[in-house]
Amino acid sequence: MTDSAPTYSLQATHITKYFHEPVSFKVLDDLSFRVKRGEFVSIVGKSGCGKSTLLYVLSTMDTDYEGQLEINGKVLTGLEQNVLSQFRNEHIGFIFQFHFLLPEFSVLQNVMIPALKLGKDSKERIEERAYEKLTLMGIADQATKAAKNLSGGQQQRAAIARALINNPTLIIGDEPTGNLDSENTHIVFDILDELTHSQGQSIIIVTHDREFAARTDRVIEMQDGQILGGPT
Amino acid sequence: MKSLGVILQIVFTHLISRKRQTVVAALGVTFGIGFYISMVGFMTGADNLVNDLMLSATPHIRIYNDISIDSVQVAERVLSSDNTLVEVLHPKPRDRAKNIKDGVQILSIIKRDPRVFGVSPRVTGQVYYNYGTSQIPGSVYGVDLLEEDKLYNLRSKMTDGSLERVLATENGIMIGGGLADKLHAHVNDHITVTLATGAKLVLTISGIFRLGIALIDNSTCYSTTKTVQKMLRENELYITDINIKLRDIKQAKSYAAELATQFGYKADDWETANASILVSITIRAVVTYVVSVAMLCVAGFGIYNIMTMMMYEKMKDIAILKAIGFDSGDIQRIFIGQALALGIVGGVVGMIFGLSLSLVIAAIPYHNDFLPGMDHMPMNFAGRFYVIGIVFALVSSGVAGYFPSRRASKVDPVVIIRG
Repeated sequence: MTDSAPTYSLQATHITKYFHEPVSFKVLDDLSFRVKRGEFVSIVGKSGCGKSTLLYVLSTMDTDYEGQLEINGKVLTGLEQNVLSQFRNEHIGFIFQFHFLLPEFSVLQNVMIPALKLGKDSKERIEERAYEKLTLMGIADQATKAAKNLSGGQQQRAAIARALINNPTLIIGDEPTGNLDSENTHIVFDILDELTHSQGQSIIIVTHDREFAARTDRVIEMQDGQILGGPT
Repeated sequence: MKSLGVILQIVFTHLISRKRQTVVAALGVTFGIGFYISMVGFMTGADNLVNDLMLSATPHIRIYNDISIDSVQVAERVLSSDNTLVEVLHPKPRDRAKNIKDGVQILSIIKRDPRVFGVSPRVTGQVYYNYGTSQIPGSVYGVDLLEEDKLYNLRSKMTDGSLERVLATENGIMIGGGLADKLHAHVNDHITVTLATGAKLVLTISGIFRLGIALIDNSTCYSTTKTVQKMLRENELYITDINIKLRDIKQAKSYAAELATQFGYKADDWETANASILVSITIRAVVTYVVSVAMLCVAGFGIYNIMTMMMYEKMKDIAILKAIGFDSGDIQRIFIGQALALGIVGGVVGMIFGLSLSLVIAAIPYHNDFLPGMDHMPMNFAGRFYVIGIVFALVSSGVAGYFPSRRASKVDPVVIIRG
């Protein structure tokens, strides 16, 4: 978090993507938008409007698109997969609709794995940080349990802790509250909202939940592969 | 590598959380390696037994006077010129003595060579054993019995009588077991032999031996050089063969060639003398190795199957790992690591299993009238089979893990996560 960091943590310019199966179909149509540092953005739209597809392009996992993607001031379009995975490891945190924890590992190990992969800290320090994140999520007491033995809400919070472990500049969520009851949804929203304000982390969330979206800083509405209301 | 620790952690957590699959895959390797080790040990043990048998009957090098004709005939030497064709039809050898001239001197020269462990003279006589009205052809070998015993452990081959008895008895001989059976002869019996010259001689059986080689057991007798020299009416310097035992058996071929040129007599090494048996050993070795490699390949396929299954089951985990920053190489290392871990564990247990199996086989009693020295199944505990086993376990599991690992590394996380 230095002062020289760019104003925008994410800039997408003229993103266009086609699906080729079963027939050629333009799923993203010349999309451009920017996300400021510390901004909490939600993307809404009907099923099939391309919002999840957009999210996976932004996540760097999907590289089959036209246009340019820039995160944290670095142009990522055209880079190799192995470079991108390292970039993801360091700068992007993921929260999925289903928690997607590694079932055989303990909650603590799940949270630690991305940091162990990054390898910038000692194991002891990483474990300490993992406990901090779990405490933040209110599930520190579940740390040594196997991930599969937690309740749905706890699992989702563990997944958020995992997304945060490397202090990423960008957090991307695909329906992170899709499987949660309203109480857990509130808890998750508050945690994410807090992160944008206190840590300056940017968050992009795809959601169906209009009420959830309304509370974020900005709502991007998509229809037929385009952003309603033009570039933002 | 920074991420090696976490990769190993993932490898072991995956293996431990799937105990049954892990055990099944490792057991495949265990059985493959275990059976390989015990089977190769058994086969080579048997081969060594045959080898030992062969060497108990064949000296490392045998020098003898090969009756042959001169390659260039006298007529050719004298009459041959540019425009004369000389052809000698059906040349035959002269009447030559069959012995090695200066045999005693040659013996003492060879004895001084540092490569030689022991050397002993032999007098061979061709005889007919009289059996009622029929005659059985055979040989009588006159040897230095005590020296021969030191070199070839003659005593262990004896089933009745003793060496001392042969030495102490006038015209005493030890007779092959098969021949004794045929003649219904026992120790202290007398047998009559007819020599090539037509003379008859009565010999006293003072011992019975069995080498385990029918050819010898059914037709030969051993006695002292003196007795056989007397039988043949030759003097005390008459020697037909010189048998040499070397310190290093591998030198036999080269040393035999050396001796042949040095003394001008035929010198056969044991491999030349036993070429047909060695061919069968070679063929058996090839069969052994083909079967072993097949077994190890089956073990490799076991790992391949389990790893492929594991890969499909772990599709979601692979996608998650890729999403949180593991690259294709890391995923590949995880799967190869798992395959290698299975190979190492299966291989080490397989070595223990193979050793136990070998011990069991070696403990099976096996008695055979033709092999007096043998009481258990043969087994070779050579360390190299264990090394080959573990190396093959690693190589085959590495190869078996490679293909599933490559497929795993190519999994597209977006496809899996979006469902």
